[in-house]
Amino acid sequence: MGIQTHFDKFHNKIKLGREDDAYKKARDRDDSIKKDVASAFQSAGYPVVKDFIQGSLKTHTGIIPISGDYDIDRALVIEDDVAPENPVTPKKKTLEVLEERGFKNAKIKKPCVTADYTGDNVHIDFIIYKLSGDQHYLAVGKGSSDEKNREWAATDPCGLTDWINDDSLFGVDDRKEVLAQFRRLVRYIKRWRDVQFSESVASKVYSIGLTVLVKEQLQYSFSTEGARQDLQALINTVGAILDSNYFTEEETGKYRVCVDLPKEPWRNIFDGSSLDTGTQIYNKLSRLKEQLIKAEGLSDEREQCKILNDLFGKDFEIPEPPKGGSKSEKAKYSSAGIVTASVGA
Amino acid sequence: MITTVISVSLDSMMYFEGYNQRVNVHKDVAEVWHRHRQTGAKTVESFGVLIGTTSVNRREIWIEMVTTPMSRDQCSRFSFSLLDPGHQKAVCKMFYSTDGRAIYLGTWHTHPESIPEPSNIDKNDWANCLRMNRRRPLAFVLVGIEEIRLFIQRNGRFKSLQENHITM
Amino acid sequence: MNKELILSHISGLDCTARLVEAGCKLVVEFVVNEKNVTLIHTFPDELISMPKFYLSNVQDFGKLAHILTNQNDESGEVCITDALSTAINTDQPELAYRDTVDKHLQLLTQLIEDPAYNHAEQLREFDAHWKILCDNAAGGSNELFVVWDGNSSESMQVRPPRLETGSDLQTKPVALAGSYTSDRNLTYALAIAKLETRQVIGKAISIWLSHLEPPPATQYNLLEWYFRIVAFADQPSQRELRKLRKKKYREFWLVFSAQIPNGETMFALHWNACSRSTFPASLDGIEADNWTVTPYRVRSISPSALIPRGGGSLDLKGMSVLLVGCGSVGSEIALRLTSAGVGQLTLSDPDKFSEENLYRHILSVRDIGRLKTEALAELVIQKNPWVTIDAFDKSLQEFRNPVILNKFDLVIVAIGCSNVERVFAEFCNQEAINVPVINCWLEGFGIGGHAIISIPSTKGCWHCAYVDPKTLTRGLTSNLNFLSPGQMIMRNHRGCGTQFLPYNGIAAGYTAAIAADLAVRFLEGQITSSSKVSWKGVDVEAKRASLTTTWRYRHFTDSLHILPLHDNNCDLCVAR
Repeated sequence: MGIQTHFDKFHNKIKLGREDDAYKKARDRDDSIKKDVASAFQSAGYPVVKDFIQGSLKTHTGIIPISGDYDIDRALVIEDDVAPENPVTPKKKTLEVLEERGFKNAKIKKPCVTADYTGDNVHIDFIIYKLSGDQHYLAVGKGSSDEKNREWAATDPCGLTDWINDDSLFGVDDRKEVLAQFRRLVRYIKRWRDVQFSESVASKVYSIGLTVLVKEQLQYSFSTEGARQDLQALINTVGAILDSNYFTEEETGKYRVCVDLPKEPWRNIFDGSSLDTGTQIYNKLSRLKEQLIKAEGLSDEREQCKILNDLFGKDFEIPEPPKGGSKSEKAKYSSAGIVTASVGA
Repeated sequence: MITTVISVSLDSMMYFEGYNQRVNVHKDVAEVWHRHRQTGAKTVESFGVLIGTTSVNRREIWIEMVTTPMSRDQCSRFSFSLLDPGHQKAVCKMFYSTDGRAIYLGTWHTHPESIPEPSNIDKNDWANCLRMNRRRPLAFVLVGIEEIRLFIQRNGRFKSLQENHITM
Repeated sequence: MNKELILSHISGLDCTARLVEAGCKLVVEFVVNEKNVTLIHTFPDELISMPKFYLSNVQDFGKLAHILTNQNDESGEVCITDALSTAINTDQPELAYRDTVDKHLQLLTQLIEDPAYNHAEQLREFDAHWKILCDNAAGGSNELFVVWDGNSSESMQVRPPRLETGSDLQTKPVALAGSYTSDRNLTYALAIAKLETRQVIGKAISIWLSHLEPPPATQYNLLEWYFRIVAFADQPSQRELRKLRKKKYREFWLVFSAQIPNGETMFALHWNACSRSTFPASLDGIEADNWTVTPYRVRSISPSALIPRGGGSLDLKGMSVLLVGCGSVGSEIALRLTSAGVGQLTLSDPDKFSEENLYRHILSVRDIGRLKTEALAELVIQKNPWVTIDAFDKSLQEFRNPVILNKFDLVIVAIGCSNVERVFAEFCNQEAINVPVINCWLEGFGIGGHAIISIPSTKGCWHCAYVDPKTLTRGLTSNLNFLSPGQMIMRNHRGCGTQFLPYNGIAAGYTAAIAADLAVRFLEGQITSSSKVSWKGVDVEAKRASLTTTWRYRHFTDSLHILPLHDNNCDLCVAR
């Protein structure tokens, strides 16, 4: 076995797909609430014309949350012609439905309406769009926002998903493998974030930000035989991220992070994030690279796993020490051997 | 009891390789050889037996210690004769203290030449050592002034293995 | 050519130069040891090699190395370098002329000023001068084949030429050492010479000289020269010469060997008397008995001369290799291994050679129906006679015997069947067989071929080449392969049991070459750990057959490079 098998095991433990059991319950909740919200919209005169799940599930980069809280990003789309002029109106309607269903801590955030199923560890974000032709507009604004702070903002949710899933840059025959490695790297880095950052900071190290970083700087790695080498790929990708222009040193040792969305509205994903957040991301990424290189240099798999366990948490398991004799077990003999009265010249 | 000898083998710096055999030399052993090189015109031949362990498949052997000339041995600048029973005693002592893992693994001696070549006397003696210790992976070492060479027998011939070093 | 420009370039050197005969010739003059040296060059129509200069009045200088003269010539050609190893800038002949004249100046100055250097250089070119001597002798270009093992000082029997034209072995006399008759391989290889039909005409005695003098300038000095050099014969040779004098002979040959600065040289003298006479011990005896002495060039047929000359290594003579599989790949491996000097080869293959094998196999129409091993053994011996070959009709499975396997220095498997190879590899692993094994195979459609060497107790084993890159566990097809697994790559023209893999002789040759290269490098001690090597061809044919390639094919840039065999994901290597 090589270190890759340990990465494979780790990946199997953390990956979250739509059909995973762990996620089923969250989806059931989501479905029933979605129906209520849709009928409320219908009665209000702006029926939901389509809905979809966006975020990491669509890009196959979802991970099982360390906190146990499952996130669902539920997009609801209404027609431009019948949409209220005030983008906050449908968000308030959504909040009403949630409160009727007994969500105490449901609230309107700037880009969405969130609801926590504390009992089931489910966290749902409702994202409201209006659709005009091919163009989506996101309902931006809080409950209290005045006209200046609310808008239907042009955005391209599907374009972003497509961009993340795009594999046209890779050779036709290698696409599948390379894209799969990209997705694994995003999952590793997201889990690393959850383990390495305090909860409050981790929530500001946005998954989409990490995903764009990995996508833009991906350095895939395979052996000459085509066997995946995630450790090597991760080292090189993190290295490339650090060597690019995402971090600006504003004061000595203090970094501002800036990662632009590759699609409309092209804004900085980390817009408004603090110098402390940027610095933490920079320093922790540097340590990640350093430790990964250290692990790569070790020959003992167990020692490698110890370092990776420290970086990625308990789901990166350290194998049991081998039982019985050491690697180079010595032969046992029945006699010491005979020293002859050797002569020599 | 076992561990003392077997653990030190991890430090070996010099090893010989070839013909499906790897021979690791403990650094203390290499040091003994280096010290006994026949550099000055007066020094006599030095010699002794090799003691060490082997892997289960015997393709790898570890020379853990060597004996050096003892009082009842005979030697001149160009020949030696290994007569002192102390050599056999040293082998047996190691054998028992390692629970049967360390055994007699051959002989070493010095030559007063830069790159030592085995003489016919040497080859005959080595063949005799092999006859007395059938099915044991014996090795024979010649310590020259500039080079140390290690020989093993393959298909009835003595073959010199390639010397290598590991940097710790 | 601008001759004035050439002249001006030469004028910078320590000599005088002028054009004569209406600019057709160039004369260069300089002084060494108070002697005038004159070099003459005739301009060629076109400059394609180093300009040639002749030294005038050669007799004035005594015998000089690097000057080729014919008898009675007044001038001699100066030979400054090997024409093949010098590139000429034909666009700027003036530079070539300046360099050439400069070299002549240096060479002649050193030869004339330093007699020791001159002597050593004459010995270095002994063979060339000896050839001139032979060419000028009666009969012209006399040559004697000497068939021997390169060591013995035994006397040899000389058989006369058989034909006027044809193979040199038939048109020249051949001296045979006694060991020849016991060497069945050599007898077979030399069958063309029809030696058994040629009556022995005399004996030849080999003489080892501890010291040699440059050959005489003319045949007239030959005897005088012979008595000078024969004084340097070693003890056993002296004994042989003394024995020779006890009987009377009509004719015999002396075959000399001596060390010269650039290696060993051999030459022969043919002694012929009008009537049976005693071999003379000094110059005086010659005239009395009327012996005629003729110089002969020696063409040595011996392993110690011909194996290294042909790029083989004498160190491999003692090596014993088992080669299982004598198909188009295996048979070429056999040739290449013995060409490299491997002295003991055991061949095994249960198959008989069939007409279907013809084109890509090195055996020929006359071998149809014979065991491949037997026919191959004959072919190999004809090409590389100093080899011992054993032939068996056993399959790889039947070699699963530690006693047999451990006798070899190396086992090569060229059967092209991974299932059988797997069983064999597992056996070797379980029984801790101590012999390295090379497996080699090629893929169809000219896409490539592979060879791996698994050296016990080193990192990397047969199974390392079979770790599935997707599952990272042991798989059924090799991870070295260039064609994706699970495709129909065999061709079948006539129903069950007639499947074959489409590839040509070139693909077989490449594959044999990489396998033989691994083998020889291992036997010479250059490879000490398990390794792999592949050659990658183009995918034109594979595409035409709608076959897909592997990641390794698409990204492979290490054709012919020897790479470590070990795969990190091999569970057997971890357990070891």
